[in-house]
Amino acid sequence: MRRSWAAWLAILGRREGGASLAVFRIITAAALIYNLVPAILRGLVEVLWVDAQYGGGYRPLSGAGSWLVSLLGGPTPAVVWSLVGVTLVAGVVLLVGAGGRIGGRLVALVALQGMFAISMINGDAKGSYDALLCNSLWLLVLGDGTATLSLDARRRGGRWRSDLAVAAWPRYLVIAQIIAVYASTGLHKVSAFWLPMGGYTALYYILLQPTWHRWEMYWIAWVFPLTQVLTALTWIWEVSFPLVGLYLYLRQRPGKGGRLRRLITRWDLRTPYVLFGVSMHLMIFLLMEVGPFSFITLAYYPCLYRPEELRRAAAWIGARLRRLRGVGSASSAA
Amino acid sequence: MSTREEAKEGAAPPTVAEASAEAAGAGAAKPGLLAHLLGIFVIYHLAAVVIQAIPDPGVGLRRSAWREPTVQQEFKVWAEFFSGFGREVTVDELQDRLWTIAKGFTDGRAALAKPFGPYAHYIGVRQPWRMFVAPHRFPTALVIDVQEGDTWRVVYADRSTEHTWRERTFSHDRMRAAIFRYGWPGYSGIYRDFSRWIAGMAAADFPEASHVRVRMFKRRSPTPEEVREDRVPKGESIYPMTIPLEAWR
Repeated sequence: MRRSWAAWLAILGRREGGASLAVFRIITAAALIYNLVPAILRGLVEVLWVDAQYGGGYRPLSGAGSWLVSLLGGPTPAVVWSLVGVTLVAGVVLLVGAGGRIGGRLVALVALQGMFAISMINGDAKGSYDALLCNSLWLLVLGDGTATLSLDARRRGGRWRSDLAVAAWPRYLVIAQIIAVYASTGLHKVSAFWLPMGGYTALYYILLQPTWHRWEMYWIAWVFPLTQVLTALTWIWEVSFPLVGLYLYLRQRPGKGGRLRRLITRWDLRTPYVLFGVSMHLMIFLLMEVGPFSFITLAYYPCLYRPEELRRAAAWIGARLRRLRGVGSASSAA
Repeated sequence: MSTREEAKEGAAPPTVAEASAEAAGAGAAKPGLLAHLLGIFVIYHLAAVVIQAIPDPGVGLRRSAWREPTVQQEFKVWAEFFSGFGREVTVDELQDRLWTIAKGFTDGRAALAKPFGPYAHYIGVRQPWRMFVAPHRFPTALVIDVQEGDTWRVVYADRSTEHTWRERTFSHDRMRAAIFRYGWPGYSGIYRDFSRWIAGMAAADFPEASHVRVRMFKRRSPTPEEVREDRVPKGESIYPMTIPLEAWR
């Protein structure tokens, strides 16, 4: 027991570069802004979140909202607009990465409590993306997301990038969170239509639902077999996503252990899961209007990689782009 | 103190290289109290995430929702599946058994999740990942008509390119989520408030109109064969609310 506890504390004591968490911070902050700005521009702030008795919304909302809304006196126009304004400002500060190690976390906490308060006011108008966004922001309170790719780094060392080490465990919690999201949503899908007995027709019928699709989708009847394959793949991908976590855990000691460990760590499982995930979220974004869910989810993907892996990937992409540009300018010169 | 000042005074956190060197030479260092507390907290957090992410059937545990044709179709398919094992299982029998199991499961899950209630309530660490659990085979779409003289005309219909009154309001994803819910039973009170709010806007935007009618157009989604053969089901209007606009003038 004592050895296990010491091993656990050793894992929590690990430090690494801050790039993965910084990318997570940037995408999360952008998603937070994207979550609020369209509602403001469409004049929906008061409609959705102000209690009808104050002349704003369409329904009574007294007693609704998080503890913060109750503390502030309920969903009045002043309270709701203050929450929206403060959350939006916190989102911008988070995006640029200012505030320092402590201040940056406080900014994330303000953004979290603001978003949590707003989203809990009208239960009918909230989505899973609100909960995911709040989880993301809490992870940015726990971890130092402003160490690099931030205004802080620029002020500190004159460069946007920094080699400051941050605790690795918040990134591990980011990975645990995305595994929980996918595995849980997969296990929730108990409808027969996700499974063989329902003919794998779930995606076909979901894409026909007027609530979620971007435009009329009857054309998918002509690619129905493809929707069946994607239904099966989506469900399998979701419920088996914990394998990515298992892979990341087991690969820490390559060559050790039994056949199962060797089998799971033989290939980098992240690549197929990430490729499928990115494609699926892009498809959802193109075909359906489900709010910023895909956007927020994609923030989690960089954290599946260690900062040095991200740096190598960025260098590889940069080299390819430079080579392409070189080919382009050479052919235009010719 | 700014981070830059911290760096000048040597109080800034270590770089990756320094942290690695420190870790290599710190094999025998004893973890302090903070490290132990962090260890406990991270276990609590992980338990909160995992236990709250356990599927919660309680959300859909309403007899009125179970009577909806979409849900009944699910029961039918599952009853046929279980009957395939040799003993016939009727839809009613399946529903009753499932109701008991789901209630027990929901109670057990709630007991497990109780220690994490304050964490979810105050911090916002909630895990509601109940997304697209089943396709809605009988989806609804919001339709709004106004009466001008003796004539009714449609002014808004979900996803219509022709009837687009206040489309920017109704098509926002949060509003769509709400409208989706109002097509299910159990929302009659809020649906009435929602319709009255629409009436207020209609009174302002259509000075000639005497009434507004808010309804949900419900239609079975066509099978691929029906779409290909151009046999899309007809559908019907449900929950019609006709409201005179005098009160807003």
